[in-house]
Amino acid sequence: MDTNVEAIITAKEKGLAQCPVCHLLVEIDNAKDNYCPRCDSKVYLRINDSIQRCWAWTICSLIAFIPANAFPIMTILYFGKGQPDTILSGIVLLLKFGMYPIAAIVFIASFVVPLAKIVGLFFLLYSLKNTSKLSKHQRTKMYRYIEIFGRWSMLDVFVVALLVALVEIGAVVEIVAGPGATAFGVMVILTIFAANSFDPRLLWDRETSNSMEQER
Amino acid sequence: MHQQQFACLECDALIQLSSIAEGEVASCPRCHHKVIDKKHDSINRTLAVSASGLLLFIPAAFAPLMSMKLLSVESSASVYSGVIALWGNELFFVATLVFLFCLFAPLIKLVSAFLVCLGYKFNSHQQAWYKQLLVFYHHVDSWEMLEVFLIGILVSIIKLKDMADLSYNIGLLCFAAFMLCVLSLKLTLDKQMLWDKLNHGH
Repeated sequence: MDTNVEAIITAKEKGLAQCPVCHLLVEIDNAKDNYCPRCDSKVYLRINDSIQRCWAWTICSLIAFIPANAFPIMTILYFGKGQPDTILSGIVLLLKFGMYPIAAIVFIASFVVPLAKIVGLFFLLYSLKNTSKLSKHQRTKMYRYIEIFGRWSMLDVFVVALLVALVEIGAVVEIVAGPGATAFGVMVILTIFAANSFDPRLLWDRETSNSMEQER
Repeated sequence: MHQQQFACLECDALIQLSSIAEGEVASCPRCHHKVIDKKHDSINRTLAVSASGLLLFIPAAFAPLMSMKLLSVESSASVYSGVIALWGNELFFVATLVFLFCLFAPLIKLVSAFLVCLGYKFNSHQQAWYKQLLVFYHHVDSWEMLEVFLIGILVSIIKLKDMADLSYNIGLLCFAAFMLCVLSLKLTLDKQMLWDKLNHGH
């Protein structure tokens, strides 16, 4: 492996862009849409309107976060009666029964992860326009984690699916899913779209356009 | 024309790459993101993994994962019955999500990985369907959430274990093995290598 570390030139400066699908370097003609000659996917220097789109998706996810936590995701019915549980009250119930590790897993996966994802994206978007205490390396790493851990917030939805299927014993005990599950699913999808519309290359773009601000 | 050049997907740095041997990894000098990861014996390993995954799909999706006994009434749940139960609860959107993430996406991933490697073996990689399949694989790649579902199974087991008698079925084992097969596609399938073998020209 030999790479040239000293002088880093970005593909954008050379008028090249990497195909997002097959990773071929393609010469970009700004006057028209560019397509990859190898896989026919659309190629662009940066995701179009990445910042605007990401703001929009992230704000939507924040809005969807409210009903996802306010509405009950499931109800356990004993002899036809029962109290609906939201995600948070479900966690409180787990704590009450002393199941601390599992309560922690559910709390992290379905509350901390989506919230951290939303806040993290807001932070990254904000840091593009303003100076930030975190270096570009740290912010790139942060984006990577946001992308990787986002999917774990589906955990509670899957648990509901299993419980609803499993606990259906005549008139004695039944578990019914609630509208919160839909809101939760919507929220997870929105955060995934938000993370995908963010272009991490934007974090690095300023360094090359403004060499005064070299870090490290 | 640009075979030797590569742009980092996370920071857009242009990188000159000389030949990389199997099993070696190239990282971006600026942001340390993995740029190229050449895999050992990618085609054969992917064929093996995807074939076993495909064999496991039916039991993993339809066989009961666990069953519960309460007041001498027994009920069991599988991935498929979870989707059906959500649909029955009129949560159509959530049912669709679970279906897509836990049944459709992994199955499609295995099928396309299998066909791509088979196509490569039989030298049909200049055909249009082969290219389409690789593009398709790229798009479904990140939508599979089997490992999250497995932890979901664990959480529901713990939630229910005080309430009723639980027993585990063969489906759980099949599901775990199925998940491992789908996850190991990430380790075995070398998309970049497959793309680079494709001729392109205008």
